[in-house]
Amino acid sequence: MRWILLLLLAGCSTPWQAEHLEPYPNPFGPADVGWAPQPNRDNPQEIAVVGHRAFVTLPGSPDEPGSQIAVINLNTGGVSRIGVGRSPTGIAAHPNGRFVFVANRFSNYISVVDVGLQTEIQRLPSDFYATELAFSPDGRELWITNRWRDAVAVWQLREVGRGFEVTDRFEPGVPVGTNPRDLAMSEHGTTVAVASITGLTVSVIDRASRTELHRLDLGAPANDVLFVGEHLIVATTSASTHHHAFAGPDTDGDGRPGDGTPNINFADLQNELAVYNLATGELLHRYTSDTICCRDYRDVDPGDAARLGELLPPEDTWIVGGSLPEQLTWAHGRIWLSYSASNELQSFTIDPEDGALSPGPVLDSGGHNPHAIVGTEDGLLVTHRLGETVGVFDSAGAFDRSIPVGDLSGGAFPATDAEIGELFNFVTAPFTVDGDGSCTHCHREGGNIDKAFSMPLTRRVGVGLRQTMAYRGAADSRPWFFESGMDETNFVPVMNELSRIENFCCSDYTLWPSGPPAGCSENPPPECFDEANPGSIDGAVATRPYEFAPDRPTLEPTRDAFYEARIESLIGRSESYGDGLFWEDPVTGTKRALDLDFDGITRALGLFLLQEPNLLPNPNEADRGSVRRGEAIFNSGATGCVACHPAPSFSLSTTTRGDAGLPLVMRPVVTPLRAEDGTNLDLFAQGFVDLFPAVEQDDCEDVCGADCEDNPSVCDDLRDVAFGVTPLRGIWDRADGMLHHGRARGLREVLCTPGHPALLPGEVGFNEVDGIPDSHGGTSHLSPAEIDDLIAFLETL
Amino acid sequence: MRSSDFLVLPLLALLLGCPGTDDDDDTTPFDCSLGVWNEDGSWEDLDGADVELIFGFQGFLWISVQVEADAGGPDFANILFSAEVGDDDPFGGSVPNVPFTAQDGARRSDEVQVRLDNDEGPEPFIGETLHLAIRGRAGARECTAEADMTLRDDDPCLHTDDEPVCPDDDDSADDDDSGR
Repeated sequence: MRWILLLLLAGCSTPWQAEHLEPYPNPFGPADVGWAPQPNRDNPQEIAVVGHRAFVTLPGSPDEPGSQIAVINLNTGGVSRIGVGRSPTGIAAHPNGRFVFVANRFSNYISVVDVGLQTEIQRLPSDFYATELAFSPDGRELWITNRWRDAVAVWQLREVGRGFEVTDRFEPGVPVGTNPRDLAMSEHGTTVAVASITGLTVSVIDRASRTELHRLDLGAPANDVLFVGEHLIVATTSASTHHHAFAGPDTDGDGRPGDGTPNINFADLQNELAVYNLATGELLHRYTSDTICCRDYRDVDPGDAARLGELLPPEDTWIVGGSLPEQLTWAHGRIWLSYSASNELQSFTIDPEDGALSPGPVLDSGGHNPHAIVGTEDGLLVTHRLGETVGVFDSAGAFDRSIPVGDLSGGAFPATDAEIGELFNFVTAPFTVDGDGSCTHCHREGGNIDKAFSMPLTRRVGVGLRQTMAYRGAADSRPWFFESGMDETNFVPVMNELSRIENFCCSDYTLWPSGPPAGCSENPPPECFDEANPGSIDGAVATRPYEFAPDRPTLEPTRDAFYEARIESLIGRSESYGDGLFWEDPVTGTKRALDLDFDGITRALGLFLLQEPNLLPNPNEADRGSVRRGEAIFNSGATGCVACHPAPSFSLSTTTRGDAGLPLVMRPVVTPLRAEDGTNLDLFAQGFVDLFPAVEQDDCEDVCGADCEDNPSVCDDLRDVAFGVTPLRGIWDRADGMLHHGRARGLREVLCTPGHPALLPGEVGFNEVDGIPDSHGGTSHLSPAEIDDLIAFLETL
Repeated sequence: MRSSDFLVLPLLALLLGCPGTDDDDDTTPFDCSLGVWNEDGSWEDLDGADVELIFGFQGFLWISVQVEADAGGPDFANILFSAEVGDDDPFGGSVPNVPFTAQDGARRSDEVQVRLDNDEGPEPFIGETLHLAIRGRAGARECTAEADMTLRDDDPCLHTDDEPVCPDDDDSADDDDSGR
């Protein structure tokens, strides 16, 4: 009888099984122009040091995830591998020094690795997308950030034999901002800080009560957090949205238009360190990378009263020397910081009383795309995420050597044209005139940060805005961006923002309206060294009201020369390999490599985005009742969702749908962003429309006829623009801010009509155009439960 | 494109066929040539013609051309182009899925933009001969065409927004239309 009972009980529970998420199939294949085989890469990311060994996670990419960690013997330099779960990201050494724990984002477990045995000894079941780990000082508690759950889980641990038992699980855990990644625990273990790279916040959590004490709103991605005494240091970027200080939407929440900062567009993109009082959550200092750099209208100097230069941060706060503050550590009595977008490192000392930072020199990181930085007994280790190596430095930050830990069997990075594009994507700063910006400032890890920016394509420069779009699944959103006007070869207005052409003497069409003098590039005339830039002309004609500093930001006389010099210094070549990026004679089929000038680098980046879609595998279970019900609603004629969002990309405006005469665009399905006077702030600059024939916008004359002759803006309240259809694949991982203006907070607000009963208190239904509901699909007839079902389905795509 | 067209496009997309991929080795040729659709409604062959160099948004430079095929031409084609100005190295690009529509017994493409290097402004190109070669592929069908055209600059103004900015327009640089 007892045996029968035991068998029955056993049958009631399913034993836990290890599961792994599978990558999405890559729609870009051998039949596509530019496709080429790519080498495998391991992308070394995080490090944990135990004694004389350094353990390094090797996550690979979402398309080709790895399943190993590397172990460096710091005495000998030897490297070995240990198998763990799929796409290991975070790693932490247990305080007892005998184990390291590894978070495997694409597996449903955390690996426990025995340091002595050099092997995975245990798999502790977890949610998928466990990302980073932090132990309490006594080793009895483990905190785990989870990108999928937007939470930090807490496990109680007990050592049992040669392993661990999880005696209590608090899961999903403490809710935090969108896409938490890094976390840190204070010295005595009383406080935990969790950084959200998409949600732009840091959650400060009381460890004992597991309650959030403060939600620090950075207005920018929180890349890493570090406790130093009574202070919390946050690696971040600028809070600005690149608008004029006091014009356009109120994007800094101060009740006034604009973002409160005078620089606009990409000149407003900075790199920052924030210092908080741990006890109160008060911001004590915010250091920045601002510079007086550029010869174009976007950059404002502190002394420029006419353009509100006094609103810039004080110059004594301009101490952040590199681009994209990525990871922080405390070692050898200093704060150390890696800059992933400029291949640099920097250290800072901190005043223990007031938290003020003093900068050390900016140092070369010794490899491409530095990520983790950790201290050892006598120095520092830095992962080179793209370089596939770990850099070894002395305690003063002097580079000693690199140790290969990743996969270099396909050649040193970059070994292909797509990898050249990948390098530019992640290490963009050398190609910018101010050394500040990068693609990954806004497209963190290929996603989209929760922020809408002023972009150079809008009619009202520094006033209109667009929500950041995810890079992941770029093939799904091709032609790119909301406008569906640009493709992988011609997104030049965005690239122009990084290094506007007016900054290069012989390229400066504002200095030389009739063209530069003959031989300008080879023998730059005196004006190149002593003439102020007279202005910038692209819809925002602006002049500097004073003589600008004569030094141009670069030595190169043209932008192409600048690009070629920068890529040459980074990788030792200035033309493509020709495997994916080449010129081809249409008649003879002859091919040759391309110069890596402005156009060549633009194409390399486009090629990378297609070659490596990097869509994160979806962890949401599709075989559920709510999902099936939601799918039926999605496919029903009553909602009409599937008409514009058909599989596989769940968009009509994409070439992955079979090349059916694209791009496809349509009139706005939600109310445009409007100024108080009714002006449609979504309107494109006419020059942008001219440059991209696929972009659609009502002509003034068609709406208001002859009145436009006297005033081209007379109908800016009536004109509309057309948008493409946003792909839904991967939407589960995107920022909360949705629609072209980013105003909808999550799918519920996107789907619901105004006043829909499914809306939660404070939520707004955006499914309307100027008061007419159901303009973005029929949803007003759906019950709250049906809305939930529809959302459940969308999150499985 | 006018506003009334916006709603039609998605429906058209569902009805239209697909041109296929670019990798077919056994191609069937069809005839095509390069031209441009003038404002007066006439079609102008570009071989031997003058073509206006547009100095536009953010200082970018380009010319616009169209491809003409016979009545049996494709609905869509992937266009590969190469352009060569004077003794400079040829440069090129590709434009996927260019629509062709029936006009005057032929099938003519939408605008294909050929963007020129703007590193030193438009001046070096004016009066030069541009040799343009294209290859259009639609599934297993393929055409090639070439034309020599002279780049002209009848309109030296910079077309950035509603009002052009011209080199002699001294007032233009003093305006601040930045929205503040």
